[in-house]
Amino acid sequence: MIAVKEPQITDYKALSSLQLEELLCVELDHDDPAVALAILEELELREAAPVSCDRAWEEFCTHYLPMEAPLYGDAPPARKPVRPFSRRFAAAAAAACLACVLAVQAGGADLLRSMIRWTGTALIVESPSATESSLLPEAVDQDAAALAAASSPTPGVGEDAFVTVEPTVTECASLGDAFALIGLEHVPTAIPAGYTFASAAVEELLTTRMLHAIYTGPEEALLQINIHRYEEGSVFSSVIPKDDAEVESLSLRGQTFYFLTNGIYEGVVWTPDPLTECHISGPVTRDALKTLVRSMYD
Amino acid sequence: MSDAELKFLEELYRTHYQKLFLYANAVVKHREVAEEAVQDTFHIACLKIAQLRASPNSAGWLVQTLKNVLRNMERTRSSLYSSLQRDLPYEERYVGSRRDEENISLLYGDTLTEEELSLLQRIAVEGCTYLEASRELGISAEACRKRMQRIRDKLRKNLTH
Repeated sequence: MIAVKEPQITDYKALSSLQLEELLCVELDHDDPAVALAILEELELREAAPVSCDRAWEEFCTHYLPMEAPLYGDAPPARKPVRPFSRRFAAAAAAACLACVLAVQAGGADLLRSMIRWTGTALIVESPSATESSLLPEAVDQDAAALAAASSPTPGVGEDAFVTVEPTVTECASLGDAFALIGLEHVPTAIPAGYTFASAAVEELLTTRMLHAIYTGPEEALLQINIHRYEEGSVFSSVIPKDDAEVESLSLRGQTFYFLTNGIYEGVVWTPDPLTECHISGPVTRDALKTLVRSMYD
Repeated sequence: MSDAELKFLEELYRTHYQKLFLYANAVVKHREVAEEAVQDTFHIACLKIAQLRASPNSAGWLVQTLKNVLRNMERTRSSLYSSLQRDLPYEERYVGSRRDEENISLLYGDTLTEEELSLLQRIAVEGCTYLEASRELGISAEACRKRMQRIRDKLRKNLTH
């Protein structure tokens, strides 16, 4: 084992590349990046065949960077710029805007809460801040958000020690218990005929709480209820696959529910607040799903 | 991300990619996995771009983030493979045959779709990285990761009930 001292270029030059790589492995558990950087600079000088950065950057842009257009299908229709109305038409314009917000639109959006929009192949739920920056087409979920929170150094502190991220999972005896645990009212009670409660659990990570509930039905069909609740300031974007059938909306007690189809599966999506997304799906009928959501307010 | 942020990121990327790759490769000793670790690091940099721009030592920030990614990555992959082994209902007719234990289509065919089985095989059994799988499937690495998470959820729920 080579003792790690203050970075001195002459020391590293005297070591072989293999020894320097061993040092890097040792450095993995240390908080100071200065030593690792000094070693890496020496190794970089010795590198006979540098890695192609152009190819790597191109791949990063393709597979990791957020995309300007939606990940699936055609881009939603661009929102037309708001034209100023004279006072004479102000009341009519306000009423028309409110009607547009609540009505079903092709590629429309729930403008009052989180952004819900859809294309021919996906329904996308985004936090309000995500709609401004369109960070990622996929949800910044436990993998990315927790990894980012745990992995990046705390500002002002410098290089933090590694933080272990493990979800806290609580199994619940009923859907009602799971809703209570995640802090939501209005539990759906009219479960489609033939389906029985199988499991419900709430997982908590650094910035997200998730509810997963399953009901099993005929021929092992699954009705799944998934809810994500994010912390204030979180940026998220979820993509739910769908087919090209029209998205239907239903307003109940001020809450809009969006019904979509994906082959034999019917689904419903809603956002009770800007940081919560809810999704129920299964091989059931649209009417059965509507009865289910209506039962939330019975 | 704004144009300025993207430009900042690209500059950092081109300046430090080689170093980060060398570090990752020294630790994981696998070129594809090392590439994925570095891409993950810059992915996190995207998510924390404001913090990174404000950091007085962006190179140090990237190195520390890479270290965390490497540790997380190793634990996740080990955990995934271990849970496949641990949760596996031991079929008598496959006793003594490790290769048969890895025939996940026989074992999970009732639980997972063909597409999910294929992805599970590639990542958990064959050791393919999310980046490699995303290239094969033509999706983002994040989409790949989410699919694996859903597969794990499915397996956990179906094997414990």
